[in-house]
Amino acid sequence: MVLKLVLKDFAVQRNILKRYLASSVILAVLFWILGMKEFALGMAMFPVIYGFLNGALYADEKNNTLRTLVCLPVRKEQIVYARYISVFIMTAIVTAIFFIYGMVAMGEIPAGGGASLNGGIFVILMSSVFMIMISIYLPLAFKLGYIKAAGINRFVMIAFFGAVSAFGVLIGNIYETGKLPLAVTDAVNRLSQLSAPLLLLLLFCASMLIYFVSMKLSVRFFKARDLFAN
Amino acid sequence: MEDMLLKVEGLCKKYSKFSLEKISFGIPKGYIMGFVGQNGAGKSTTIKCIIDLIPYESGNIQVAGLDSKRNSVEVKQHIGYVSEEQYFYEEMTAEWTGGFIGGFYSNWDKAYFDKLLCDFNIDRKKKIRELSKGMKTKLSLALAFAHRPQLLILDEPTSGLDPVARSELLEILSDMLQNGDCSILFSSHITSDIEKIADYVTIINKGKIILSEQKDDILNNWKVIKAENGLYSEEVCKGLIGIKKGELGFSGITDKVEHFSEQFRRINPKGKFKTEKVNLDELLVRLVKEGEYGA
Repeated sequence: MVLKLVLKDFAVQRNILKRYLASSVILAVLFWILGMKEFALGMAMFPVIYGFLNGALYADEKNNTLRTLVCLPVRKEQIVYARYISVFIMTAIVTAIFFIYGMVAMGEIPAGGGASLNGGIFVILMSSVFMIMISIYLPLAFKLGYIKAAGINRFVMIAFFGAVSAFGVLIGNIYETGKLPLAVTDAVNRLSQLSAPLLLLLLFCASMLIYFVSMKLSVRFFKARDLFAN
Repeated sequence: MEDMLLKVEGLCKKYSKFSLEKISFGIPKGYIMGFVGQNGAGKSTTIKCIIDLIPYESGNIQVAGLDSKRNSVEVKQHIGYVSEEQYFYEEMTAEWTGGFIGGFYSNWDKAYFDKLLCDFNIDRKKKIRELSKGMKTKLSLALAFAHRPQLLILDEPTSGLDPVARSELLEILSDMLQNGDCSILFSSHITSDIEKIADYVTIINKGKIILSEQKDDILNNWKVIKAENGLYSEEVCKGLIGIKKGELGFSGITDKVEHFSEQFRRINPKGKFKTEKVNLDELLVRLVKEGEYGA
């Protein structure tokens, strides 16, 4: 049942997906030629993943097909699981494509403190960040529907990037002035001694955990939602 | 309520401005029940509770002996549902839609679905958005029938169709019923459709069941009583429902014609009244709009 629902998300967008993937590859090559390879991640990779997610949500909202799905002999949680799985698969496919791009085109990227990060690894890092953002978006969508959730999510994304940036700057400033609590200073020191791939693995595992928790929250929201309310 | 494929007992559902109150009825195996009421009476709400699409406060619903809440997924295997509005992926074809929905049913009969598409003249390669409303309803019927349900629930399927399409759909339904043995709950505010095919009729008004009997018994027992205005009195009209007064006379309906006759002759020994057959439409209007059940 879940597999049919996952395949459905790809089937209803098959024409749009081809265009998304083609345009993202073209954009990635363009940015490479222009010497702005890093921009490809934001301008080509991210829109494809979010485009797929929004396309799946929009298809169900526009056609009201969630009402049809809940009439079928399938549990509501299976509908939620299928959406999370299809988005994860799409993210994995796009990450795999851009991983190759990262390894070939981007080379070594400065990561601060004299360290550098391989382009491919950087792609996986960005994917993990995208997964965290999607983990915030999907429960909203299952609770409120696509249109309301998309509106709220724009502000959430701005707040997310703003908060992450501000937090990073704040921690950096406080760290340099030595006013952080000892436990936090110790933690920051230990983290900075970890290798980049290990840090990346930690971030990836954290993003997967957040994605899983998000899925459970979405199940709860979707079960409580009245799809037939006027 | 023995040997019932569908059993609804004491169903209560509350909204802020509307509620279903102790809805109880049953459909025996192999029969058709017409579920009649005006718009907003609670027909669709009742149906959605039966299919576990919306939660309800209390009551017991069983389909083929299974509790519809606790065994929701299993119950849906036995139900074919056609709603007033059909919700499909508009960019996909009828063939894809059948393949997608069929995958959820263990009893899906692809050959039968293909046959139904052919019989209904639905182009399998056509996108859903290119189908007319009547065609979408027929597709919905084909999807509902193709997994051989024990209970078919039709929620105002003829609503929004022109008279020709409606008649065609009812013919298709009658043909399909003759070849199968499923029970049907057919909800509609178009009583003439119900009168054509139903074995049982349940009338609902403002969330309450006001009548639930065999159709033939209803049409045989209920009569329209007509008499001149000069014979009108409150005592005479005690047993009548849905009283209408016109320039020349008054009328009302009753299912106790003999009792009314005795009462009438006691009060108006020389007066006369006449009885006429009632149809479901008139029965619904009088019971709901102007009768003691309507206020």
